[in-house]
Amino acid sequence: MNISNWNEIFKALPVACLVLKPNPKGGLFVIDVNEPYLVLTGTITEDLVGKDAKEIIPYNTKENLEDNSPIQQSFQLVLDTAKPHALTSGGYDISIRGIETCGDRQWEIKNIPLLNEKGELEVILHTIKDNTLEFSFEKREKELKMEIAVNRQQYRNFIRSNPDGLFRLDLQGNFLHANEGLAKMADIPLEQILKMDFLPFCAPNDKEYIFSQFVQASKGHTLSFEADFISAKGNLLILKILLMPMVIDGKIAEVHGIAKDISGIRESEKVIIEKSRFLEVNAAFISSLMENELNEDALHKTFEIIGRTVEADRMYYFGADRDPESNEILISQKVEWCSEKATAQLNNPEMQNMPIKKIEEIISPLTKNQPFNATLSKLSDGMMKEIFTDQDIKSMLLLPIFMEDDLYGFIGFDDCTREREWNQDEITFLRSLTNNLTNAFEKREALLKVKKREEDLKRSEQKFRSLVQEGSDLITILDPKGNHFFVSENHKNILGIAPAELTGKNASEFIHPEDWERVRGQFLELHEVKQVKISPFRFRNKQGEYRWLQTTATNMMQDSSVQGIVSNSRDITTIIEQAREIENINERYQLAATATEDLLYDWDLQTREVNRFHRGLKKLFGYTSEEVNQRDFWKTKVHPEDFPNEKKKLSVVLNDPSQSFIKTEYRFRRADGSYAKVSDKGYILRDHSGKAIRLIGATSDISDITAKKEALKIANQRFQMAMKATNEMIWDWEIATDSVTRNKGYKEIFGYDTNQATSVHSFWLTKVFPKDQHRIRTSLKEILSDPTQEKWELEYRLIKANGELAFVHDRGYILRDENGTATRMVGAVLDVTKFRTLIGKIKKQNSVLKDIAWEQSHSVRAPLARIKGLLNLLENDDHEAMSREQVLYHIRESAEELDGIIRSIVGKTEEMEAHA
Amino acid sequence: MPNQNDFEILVVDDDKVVSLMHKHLLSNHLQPPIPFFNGKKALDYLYAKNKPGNNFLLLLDINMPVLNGWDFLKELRKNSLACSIYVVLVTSSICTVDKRMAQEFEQVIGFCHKPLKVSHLEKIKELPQLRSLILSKESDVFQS
Repeated sequence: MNISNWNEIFKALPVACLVLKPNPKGGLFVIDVNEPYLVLTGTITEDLVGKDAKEIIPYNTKENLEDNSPIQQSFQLVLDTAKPHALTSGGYDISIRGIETCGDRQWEIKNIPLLNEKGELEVILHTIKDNTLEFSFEKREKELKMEIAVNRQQYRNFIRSNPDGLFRLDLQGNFLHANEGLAKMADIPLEQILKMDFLPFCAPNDKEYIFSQFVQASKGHTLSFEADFISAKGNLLILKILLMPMVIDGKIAEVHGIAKDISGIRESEKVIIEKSRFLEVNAAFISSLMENELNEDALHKTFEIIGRTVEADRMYYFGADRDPESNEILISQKVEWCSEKATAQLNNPEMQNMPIKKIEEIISPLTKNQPFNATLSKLSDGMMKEIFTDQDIKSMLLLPIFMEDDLYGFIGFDDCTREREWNQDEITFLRSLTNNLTNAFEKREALLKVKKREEDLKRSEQKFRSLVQEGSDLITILDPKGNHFFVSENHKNILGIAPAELTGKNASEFIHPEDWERVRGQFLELHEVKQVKISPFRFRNKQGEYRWLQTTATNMMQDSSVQGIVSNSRDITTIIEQAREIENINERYQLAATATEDLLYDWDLQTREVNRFHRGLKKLFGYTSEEVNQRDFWKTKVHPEDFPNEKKKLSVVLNDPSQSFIKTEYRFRRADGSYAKVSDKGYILRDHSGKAIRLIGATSDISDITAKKEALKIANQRFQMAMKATNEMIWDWEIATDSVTRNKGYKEIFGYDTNQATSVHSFWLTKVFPKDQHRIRTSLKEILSDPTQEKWELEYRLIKANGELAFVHDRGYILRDENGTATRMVGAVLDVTKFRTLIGKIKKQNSVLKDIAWEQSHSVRAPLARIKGLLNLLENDDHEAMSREQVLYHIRESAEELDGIIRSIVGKTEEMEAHA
Repeated sequence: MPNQNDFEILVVDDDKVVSLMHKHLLSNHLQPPIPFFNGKKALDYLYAKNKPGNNFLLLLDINMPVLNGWDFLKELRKNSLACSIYVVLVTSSICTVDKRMAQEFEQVIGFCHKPLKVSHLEKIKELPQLRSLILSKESDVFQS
């Protein structure tokens, strides 16, 4: 092309165009622009002409590519090759008057070189065509294609790996298509399904229903339903089916469907329902146990609820008790519920007091607090199987009830129609029920205990009340100031004062003014001592009369349940009055005295006056009545040795307020100077403070009685005579006085005069061989101090009067008083010296025999052993140690030695025989 | 090289003929013994050679002058020695009391009736207390 005419071409071009001229310094600059370019880019000539191409044609990207933008590269290519270059798509916006715009416009760009005559590049025509629209359409198409591909993949995945069953059926119900999910549900390979219709998969009970649903769908209804299906392997499935008619060309051609397996959901729903039912039953059971007493009626009702809930035919409770004799566990049926399918066993006598060990199978689990579960077919022969057959049981579950580590009983469930295997959930549920039952039993036990305790308490309270109410003791509790705050009911009976009348009032209002100070003083002693006995005082009763009361007051301020002074009082008015009456009876003494030999006396201890009454026919002790009535009669006649003792005794008794009687014996001088043994008995009268005021008594002559004791002595003498008749030395030891009586044998045998022998310690022990003395002392002491011992026995040596030593065998019988104290010992000593000597001889002989035996075993054996050894040498022809001659020599020597020994033994034996 | 397991046999018997016969028997079947004619001499010998590692087998007669078998054993018990002493009582007595008395001494490991025979020696060799000593002695012999 000729350069000369480019200008015209350029002007005529309908496409937008710029003329760019290479700059000698590098780059391109705009030398002309045509109208279409200005219109297309919205620019004016001034914006462009004379400007650098780089500056006005920035590449339409946000990236700053500068020299390396595709447009600049295209320019460079044209400059280098002088050949046109096109860019199918490239965008730029011209930066107009300083306004940066960067749009989305896409240009189809062509850079055409125009050469001069020399073939050099003159200018570049830069044309642009707006192809923004075409560009975006292509892009969209691409995106859509991608999207379709993705969707297709997703769809495939959805169909294939969908756990739900997806399928297409023709209008006859034949499978046209199905996915793996359906094949899985149907338990059959996919290819097989595609040869089948859906009917074989319908559960018989739902077949009609499913078919009707299919018909509906094939008529154009979209519907969803749940029904039971059966897989090829016979598994029951609950499926939720969605059926949609598929319209092709305006006609229903297929039915498409989705099957969702909801068996699991339904199953868990069922479990949830069952569990909630269990919970309801549990709650009902607990509330029934809580509200009602644990009786058989209540249990029977709850058993029915539980039995029906768990679909058992029989539910029962067996109690377990231990046989008091054999301690074995006996079980008895206590409560039973039966369904219509089972027969009741409650009245079966075999189910009462049956030893648990009869049913071997159940002992181990039940005693270990474990459930027992059995089905008929798995049982081996035995008692359990018999029970199963007798009672038509197919399956049994027993749950133990434990109380405090012991089997208390068990709950059982029988199934009479099927061999039921109880699942863990059911067992757990039932165990929780039995636990509640256990709790209820424990509650009942606890209640019984509480009830019993309450009854005990009530009884003891009643007992206390009756003691207080009906007892003769008046009981009051007072504060430290003497105000009553508890008054026992019997005040009403005894003093006529109702407790309410006395409560709150001070004791001083009722006590006789003359007695008050004394009583108060004693009451105040309670500050120091726990208990005070208040001597009789007068207390005003309802009628205004004074009654004599004797009171024991106890300080119980510290006792939190009392916090007061407890006073126990007794009405002793009658006693006091009786004592008074006695004073008036003196007259009667006089009469009484005439009938007795005794000396009666009434001694007023305050005035020291004595009245003696003696009206006996004989003179008492030979004294005249005048003498008797003298004031110091008694005092002067008591034996001087007895008097101090009697005086002391009397004073002790009189000063002891608890004593009302004195009895004593002493010697009393008769008129003839001899002494009579008398017994004196006196009654002491005391005033309210316990002080003795009178002594009334009788003195009787008991000399005759004393004489009777003589008879006893005679008996003793007889015993002594008996003692003489024996060869043994008999002794009688009175332990308290250490006096011993011995018979004549003592002198005959041991040479001592029996008269010298009076004491164990001072005489007899000194005659015992010194080495044996200690042994005797200890053995006697030991045996006497043991109240269970009756006999003593010992062998020891005694030194005879002539200095010889005698061996004696001594044995004694011990007599003891009611306290077990040894009082007397009677025994016999046997001289066993001869026997001892004999034993000694035997011992000696034995030792000789032993010597012989020893010699036999040692002395005889020695040369014998030597001979045997030498003979060995000889036999073996062994002359290494000694020659044959030497051996023979030693044999001869040994034989002679042996001979000597035997002679000596014979000699000893003869000697022994001679001694014997 | 010092002999760590020195093992000697002592025949303690006042009967010279018996002693001679025993010596002969032991020399032939075990090792030559050292004879002593009463307990006292044997005791003196043991005191002289009393040191750990020395082992002695004593064939002890009971009925002997000066110090008899029992007194000998009592002396041993009184002075606990550092060397090891094993005693086999060899007696002509057939008295069972002797056998019972022998059990009271822990050093007594055997009891034989005179005259000593080869069979007795075989039994003595097998006594657990002696077996290792006699074995080590024999192995010494092999080594030399």
